[in-house]
Amino acid sequence: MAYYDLAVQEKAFEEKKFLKIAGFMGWHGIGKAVIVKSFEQAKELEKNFHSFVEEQNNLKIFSCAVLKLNSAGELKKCIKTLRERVLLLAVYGGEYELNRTACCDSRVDFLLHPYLERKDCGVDEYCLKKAKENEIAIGITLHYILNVHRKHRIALLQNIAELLRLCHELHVSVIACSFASSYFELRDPRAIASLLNVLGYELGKAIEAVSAIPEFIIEKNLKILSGKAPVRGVEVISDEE
Amino acid sequence: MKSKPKILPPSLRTRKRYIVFKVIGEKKLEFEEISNAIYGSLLEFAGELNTALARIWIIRDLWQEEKQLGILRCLHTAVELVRASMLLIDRIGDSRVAFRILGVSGTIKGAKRKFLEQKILEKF
Repeated sequence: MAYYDLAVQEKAFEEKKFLKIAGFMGWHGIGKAVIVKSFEQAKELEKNFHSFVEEQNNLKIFSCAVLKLNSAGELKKCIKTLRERVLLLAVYGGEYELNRTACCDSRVDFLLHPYLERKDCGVDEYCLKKAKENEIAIGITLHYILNVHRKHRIALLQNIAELLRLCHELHVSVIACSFASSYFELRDPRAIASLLNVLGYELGKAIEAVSAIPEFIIEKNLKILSGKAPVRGVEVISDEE
Repeated sequence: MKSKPKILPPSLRTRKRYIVFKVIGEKKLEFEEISNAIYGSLLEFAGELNTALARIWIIRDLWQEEKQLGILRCLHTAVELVRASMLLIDRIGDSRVAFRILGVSGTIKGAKRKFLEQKILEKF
């Protein structure tokens, strides 16, 4: 079984040991997440993305953009600019308006931590139904769990548990990623699955959250971006005439 | 000499699992530091009751300080909880750390053979 961490912060890749430790931890592929904070930055970054997949130290590295914006309008513009340039497009959640916009846009691949800095899980039934319809996964990130303590961690875990319960009820895909900024924040995939399991998610589905579902997203996007699947539900099997 | 109760028959013994782990840290850590960190994280994450029910035993004799490898025993029902609480350890003292769980085994012998690559001489 291959394990994929779809969002690891770009600055973690600057550390020499990072790729070695990621391999040792058991990951097969990692998404190199560039955080986009404005439309101007998105336009600049558009030219920097050269390939969708690279291979280093037996690890596949996927191009990924995480859109961390303040308004829904700007978010939509950035999605339009970057969608065809990166393999994985994620939205940095937290604000309800942004969570909802992300869930309603089928060009988005996953919504990261919609529960961040909130007293609830950040999404409602409508958002999750839309996420299911548009095949958008909900991303649980480890970075913020590791960097908060005591009552803040309790609040965060409580929100994650609620989100996992809703995702299970409404059949929405869940992925788990580290969103690490250093190799000390990397963990082995099976331990991340254990955390989801302890928070009330089925163990089988928790393991899929770090293996099958990320793999499905990557394969789906590779097909779409290479032109093999031009429209949703249509796939070009052979080019021969 | 204190008298001890008789050893329970296998059918009455609890089912255990041995978790083999490696610590990746900024510096080499001693057994006491690792042990305190694991118990601290478990107490914080799972609480006193669940920590007690997990029946944790971190095996001092099997701690390899050079390789930073260790073995921990717990009940078979507590494996996921122990894994999750070990994942939450990010710092021991001043040193940043990450735990990598190499695997889980039903016996110490199996854990050594599979994950610590120790050869069992009985077979020769």
